[in-house]
Amino acid sequence: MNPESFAEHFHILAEAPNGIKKLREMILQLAVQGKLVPQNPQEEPASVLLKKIGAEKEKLFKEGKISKQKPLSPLNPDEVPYELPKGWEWVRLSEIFFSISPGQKKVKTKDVNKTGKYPVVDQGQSYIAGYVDDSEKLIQIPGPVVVFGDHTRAFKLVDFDFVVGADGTKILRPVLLNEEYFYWSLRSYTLEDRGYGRHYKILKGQLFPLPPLAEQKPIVAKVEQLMALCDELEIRQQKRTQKRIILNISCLNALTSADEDSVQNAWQSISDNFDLLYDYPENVCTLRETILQLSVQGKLVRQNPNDEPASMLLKKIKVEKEKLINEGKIRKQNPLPPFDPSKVPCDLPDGWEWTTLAMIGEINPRNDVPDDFEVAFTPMPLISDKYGVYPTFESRHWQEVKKGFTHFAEGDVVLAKITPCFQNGKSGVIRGIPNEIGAGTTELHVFRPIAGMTVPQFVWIYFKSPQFLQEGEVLMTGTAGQKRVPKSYFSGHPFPFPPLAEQKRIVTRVDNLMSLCDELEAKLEYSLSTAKTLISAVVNELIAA
Amino acid sequence: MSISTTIKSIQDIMRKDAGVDGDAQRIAQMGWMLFLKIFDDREQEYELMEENYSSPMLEKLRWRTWAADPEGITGEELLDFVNNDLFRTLKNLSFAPGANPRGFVVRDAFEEAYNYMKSGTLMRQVINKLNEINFNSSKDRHLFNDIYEKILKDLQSAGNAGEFYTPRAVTQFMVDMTDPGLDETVLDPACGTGGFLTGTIEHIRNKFVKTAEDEHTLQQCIHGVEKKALPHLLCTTNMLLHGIEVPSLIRHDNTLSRPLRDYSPRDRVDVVLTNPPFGGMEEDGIETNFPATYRTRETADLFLVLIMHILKPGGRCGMVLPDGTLFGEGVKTRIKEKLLEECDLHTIVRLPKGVFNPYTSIKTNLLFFTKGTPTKEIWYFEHLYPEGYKSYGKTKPILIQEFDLEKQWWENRKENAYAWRVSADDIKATGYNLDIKNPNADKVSYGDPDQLLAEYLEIQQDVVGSRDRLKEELMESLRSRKK
Repeated sequence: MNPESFAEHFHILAEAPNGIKKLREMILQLAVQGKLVPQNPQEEPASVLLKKIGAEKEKLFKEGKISKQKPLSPLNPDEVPYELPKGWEWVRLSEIFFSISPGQKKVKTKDVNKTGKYPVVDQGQSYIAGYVDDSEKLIQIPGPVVVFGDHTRAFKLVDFDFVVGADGTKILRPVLLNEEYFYWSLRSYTLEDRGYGRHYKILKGQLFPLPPLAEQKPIVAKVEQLMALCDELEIRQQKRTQKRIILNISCLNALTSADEDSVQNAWQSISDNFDLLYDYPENVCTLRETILQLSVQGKLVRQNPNDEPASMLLKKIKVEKEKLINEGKIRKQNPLPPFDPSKVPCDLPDGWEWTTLAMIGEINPRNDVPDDFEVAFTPMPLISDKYGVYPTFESRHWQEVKKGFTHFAEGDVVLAKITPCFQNGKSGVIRGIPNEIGAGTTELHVFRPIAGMTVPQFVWIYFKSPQFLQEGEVLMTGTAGQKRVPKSYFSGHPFPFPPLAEQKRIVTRVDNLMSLCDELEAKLEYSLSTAKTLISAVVNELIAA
Repeated sequence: MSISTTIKSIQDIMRKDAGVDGDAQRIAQMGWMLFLKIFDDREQEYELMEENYSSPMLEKLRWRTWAADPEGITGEELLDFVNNDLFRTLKNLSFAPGANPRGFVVRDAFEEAYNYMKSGTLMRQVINKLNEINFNSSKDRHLFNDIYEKILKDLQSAGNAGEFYTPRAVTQFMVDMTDPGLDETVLDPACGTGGFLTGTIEHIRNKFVKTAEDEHTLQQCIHGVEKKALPHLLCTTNMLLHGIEVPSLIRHDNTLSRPLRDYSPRDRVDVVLTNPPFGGMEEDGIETNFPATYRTRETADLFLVLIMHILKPGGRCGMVLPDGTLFGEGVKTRIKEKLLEECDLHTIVRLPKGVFNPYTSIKTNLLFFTKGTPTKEIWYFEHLYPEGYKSYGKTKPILIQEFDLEKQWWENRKENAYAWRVSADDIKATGYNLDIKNPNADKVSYGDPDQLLAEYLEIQQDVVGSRDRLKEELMESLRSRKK
């Protein structure tokens, strides 16, 4: 990729999930390759500086300030990773600094306070770990130093006297170098993570690109300027992402809480910003939940006045149910509490009725089949928390699973009742099982529609709707980790019941929308991961060039 | 009722008891009860097989006498019997040398056992639950092995001296690769609950045991040593379950407490399979059992020295070691020097992080070596996560199928994306650093930026297409509200 193309597509690169990180890497690499600032042939070359460093170290040794250094093996030409500009020199890192040992002056983490006289620097993430008051522990530094975390691989440039915290804090004092250049070029190393292993030894073995002294300061100035721009861009990106998430949530909330008249307005604001909102996979997730909520509110498809109203359907179900009880085909239920019309959550579209699952079906029915029947067995992991992904099963004999498990049959709708499966909305419609009979985890509630007068998938949508899940979560009982949603919530919570024909239309529409969401989400994720590879490839190429 | 529910209800009953405090005690309590029950179940089988079988236990102490009848003694009477009769007698069993060796097993098992339960009635309930399981039915026994491992896992998560449950896939792979034969003595010097040993038993039985005599040979070959009382008891029980009739070769001892020079050629073994505790520190004085050059307090390193010593010439070892031993310096360097000089360290399988989750997430290695010839080159094999895994965990454990790649490669070794070799000279040159990264893995190709850019722009177009369709469909839904 040439620089023009890089410039043209810079926005794509910077927007990649790892974009800024890669740009920073690139800046540091270019800096230590001498590509950030032009060279001046008049400057005193680095070889002279190197000799001065050697002399200075010899002097420090004679003064007893540093210990004798082991002789270093001479540089082999094929060790050198890349060619340096004229006037620069490759040197071994340990040639150009000495380390300051804290000796007994280290403090333990438990002795570090939030406030105090002297700052403590350790290898942790935060620049200053805390403060202590004990002046005996203070280390007087001869000039700015770099603190290196032996375990964490952190680099910190420190230009004040400080107290060393905890083990593994290495203090490096560069000799005659521009300390800031020393710091930034150390940051350009990629040290492989060895977990809690030590990294200092690896660091010491690195090669160091030494520029002429006069060139070091301009490089630092350039690096700091570019890094500041990266910081700014990064912060703005984060703010934008947050805003985008909040905007999406508030737009969608407006849609679900809108009434007949305001729904158009609410939709308009989403529609206008659709490309902006749905450029991120997270927002598509929220959209999915909203679609489920809208569908149980009757806002997703048109009502048809010619549909047989739900009230008629309820009457038919009641008759059918009594018939089945009399025939002994289903168990007689305890009389249901009378439905309290004042407790309904909101108004429903024409033709819809409030009811409960207990009224329109069987709750947790039992199966009765011969022992040697081949049946389905569904433990919790086989139930998905995604709408549209049907539960799968293993094959068993009825005898093995009839005791100690929850029974279900083809066409039943199941809902996980235990935490955290309930909150995640693990649920599904049982489909395609052998002999139409099965059993599964005990942590299920089962709903069996009566005589095909409820579309099971519509009940599934209801289980997945955010409002149902949120209200259920509040009612969960039991000790932490064992909380369950009560059966009464499952069977007795007001259920919005649309006409049969409309239930079918809703399910078709939701399925359609969900698959479009899936498609979009997959493409967005793919595009993010491609952007990630792209920036890595570009940076890699530009550094190598 | 399934066995897992039985175990669960036993634990629930024990929770009610005032004397049983915490997981460790609950498992310890279940440990000796299971032992007695399983021992009795096994005895029923011996009685059928051997004509003049006589039990090493007094009749009144046998499970069948006091526990098997669901309406048997209970309450204070039961408690009194267990505390004052059963425990007192079993702890003090004494035998003439040459007596029924099964008696030693019982005494060893009860040496450090303790009855925590304070309610005889609850104890009766537990006993009756246990009696629902028949360990002689092969189906129940098979199932129980899994449950048993689960109990062991619960137990080990309480461990804090570096002892971890070794996943079955790892033990099985190591057994398969070391391939212990019928006449060979196999030792696990830190056997825990016996994972490697049961793996070995199954391996030999499937592959070599044809006659009753073979079976008899097998019984004499399996050796194990465990320092802690509870895992030792569980290991003994585990051996009984796996058909080792007299698990007296499982000793309750610290392998490291015996001075190295005291091991005579007679003590040497053909195969060692082990996962020594890492990061554990031995008590003062243990290191004096070792030659001065190799003295350290790190348990895993001491075990490595010990194993090199107690293998017969030509003996084979498979062991688990952390990365730390591989790159460590100081004493570790000298130990590795000795290892490379005295043994042929032919293979190191590098496992990713998390194999031992949730006990520890550190990276570990499987070392395979043969004593007798110095190492010329080491083959490394990098074991990668299966696709889609970020780490292993409780619900996603390492599986034996994952080792198929290693197995295919084992006999027919070639360098490839996962396998590479390093000569012993190179290792020496780096000061015996065995922590060598896969040189073939780093060749990540970033691809051509211009081509990637074109692809990216195309995907962007695609995204727009999908998004428009979604928008259209939603518009359809919401627009329809206004008739």
